[in-house]
Amino acid sequence: MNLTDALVIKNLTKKYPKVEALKGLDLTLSKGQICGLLGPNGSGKSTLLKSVVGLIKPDNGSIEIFGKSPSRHTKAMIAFVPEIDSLYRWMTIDQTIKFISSFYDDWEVERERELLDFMRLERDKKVSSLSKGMRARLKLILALARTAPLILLDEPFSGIDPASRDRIVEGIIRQFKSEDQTMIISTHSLGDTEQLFDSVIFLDEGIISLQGNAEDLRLQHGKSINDLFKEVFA
Amino acid sequence: MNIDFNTSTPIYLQIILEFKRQIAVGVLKPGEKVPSQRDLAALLKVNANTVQRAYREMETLGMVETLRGQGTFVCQDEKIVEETRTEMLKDLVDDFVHAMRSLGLTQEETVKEVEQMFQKLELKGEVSDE
Amino acid sequence: MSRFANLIRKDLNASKMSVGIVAAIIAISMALTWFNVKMGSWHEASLIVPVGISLAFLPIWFVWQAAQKLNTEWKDDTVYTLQVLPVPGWQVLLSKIVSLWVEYTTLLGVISVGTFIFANPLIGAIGTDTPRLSWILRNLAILYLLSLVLFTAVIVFIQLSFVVSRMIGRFQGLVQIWVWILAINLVSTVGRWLAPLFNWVPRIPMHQIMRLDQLQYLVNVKFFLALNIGALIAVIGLFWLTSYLFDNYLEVN
Repeated sequence: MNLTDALVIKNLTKKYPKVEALKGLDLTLSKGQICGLLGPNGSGKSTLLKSVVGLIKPDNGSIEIFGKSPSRHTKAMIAFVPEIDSLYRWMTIDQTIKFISSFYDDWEVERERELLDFMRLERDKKVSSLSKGMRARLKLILALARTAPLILLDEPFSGIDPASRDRIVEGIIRQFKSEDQTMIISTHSLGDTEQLFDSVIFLDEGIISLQGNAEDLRLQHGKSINDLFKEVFA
Repeated sequence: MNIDFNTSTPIYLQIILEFKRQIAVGVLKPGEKVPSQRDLAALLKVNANTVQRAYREMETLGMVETLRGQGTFVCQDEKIVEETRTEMLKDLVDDFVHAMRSLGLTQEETVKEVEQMFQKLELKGEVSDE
Repeated sequence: MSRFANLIRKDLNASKMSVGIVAAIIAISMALTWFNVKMGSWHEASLIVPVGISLAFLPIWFVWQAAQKLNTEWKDDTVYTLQVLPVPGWQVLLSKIVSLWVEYTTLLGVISVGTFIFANPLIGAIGTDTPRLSWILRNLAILYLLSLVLFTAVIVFIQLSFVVSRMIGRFQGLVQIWVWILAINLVSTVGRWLAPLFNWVPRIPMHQIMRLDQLQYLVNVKFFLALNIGALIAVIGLFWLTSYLFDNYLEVN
């Protein structure tokens, strides 16, 4: 355990009746970066993130979040945004924000206001009336209004209109504080978002096949992360 | 500032290159304030650490200087414009000549090609006074 | 505390609509009967029908509602929001119990108020000794508290069987029924085991507390508390077990 590590994972395995999602995965992630967790559907990205937040209990191996095993206390340090529509549809945006924010000490009302403004959402709208892109923007607000040390975004760009995606990318860049935050973003399709990442991890059938600084990888391979991704997972 | 990134080369280098270009053609003037790292990152939709790396590199190169609490400015020294221009020019010519030679063109052929190109552009009226 | 209160408020808000609709149906059917009786088209005894049906319907509806409280979190995928929050499982489960208490009390309140307003003649018909209002209120309150304890035990059974069936993930209906049977067995067995320990607890003469001597017939009801203390401890134990499973073994995929 190193003080500059946000996440240390050793030999993580998770089997489901039909598939082995994680096959002894090892990972060390240092603080202060935005890391892209890349891999095709079914490569174990979601299982990995859910294991870190504690939604899934791994069969084997260890997870340390700033030196602590997943528990209720690490949940307070993590902002997790699932891919799925997990918000209460009968709530308004304002009710959602009030409900979620009451559980966290690191919620900042100033950031909340900025983000609502930036994401162009109105407080009195019902969640059920929002488009998919708007719901994705709301979910991001819930993560970024906090100064959580670890932010996990599961497929924040999938199936979302380009305008919403641009807002989300810009929102992340504006609000992410690399001095005291670390972010992992999983995606199966990079598109034009690769400039967002400090480093990338390629996840292939439950193990890490490549990890490195994005700029170094571009220099080494002479190609974009997107092309590298296509090549590795062709 | 708007950069159409070619993501196959490091992004921080492309940011530096764009700054050089803007200084060389006079869009950015000596002593002028440049965007804050966070603003530029948001504008270009690029990771803030990448922009930070570009700014740090440009400071080492003496292109910009950061004044505590005031922001980052293009180097005061007027010489920077000429220097950057010369440097970029040399780089471009260097690349070009090497490329032509690798195609097997001689000096005369290369010069002729360049002259023909200029004539073609003049006919179209595409050569500016710059 | 405000977090726990927020969980309760959320659960109450979520079922505000369905409780409101049921309350409205009860009130309207009572008013309608009252109106027909008043107009002389229905016999006065028909006033008992909406009250009776409501009271019979209430337990069934609340068993269903208790199951829904957890089930909808999974059905609507909101369990992802819930399970990510830094709150212990017992708070999530207890908030659902408390909100069910509130809803149960609300609907019972609607029925009681409705009875006093629309079915007043019924009250006079209960006892031949023209019982006083205070006697009725007192005994209703006692029955209400006893039913609340019973209802809570039922909710705990439902929550346990739901959580276990979710953990296993297959044959959910079958698993739920089995856990139900096992839980009820366990509670009554533990109740019997522990009964000797609480033998010193006096039997409660319910007929005195409820002043049943005011009725025409002589009724003797003694509440064997010792047996129920053990059962209550077992129910609390099952609640703790459910919370433990919820925190440590329940996965959300």
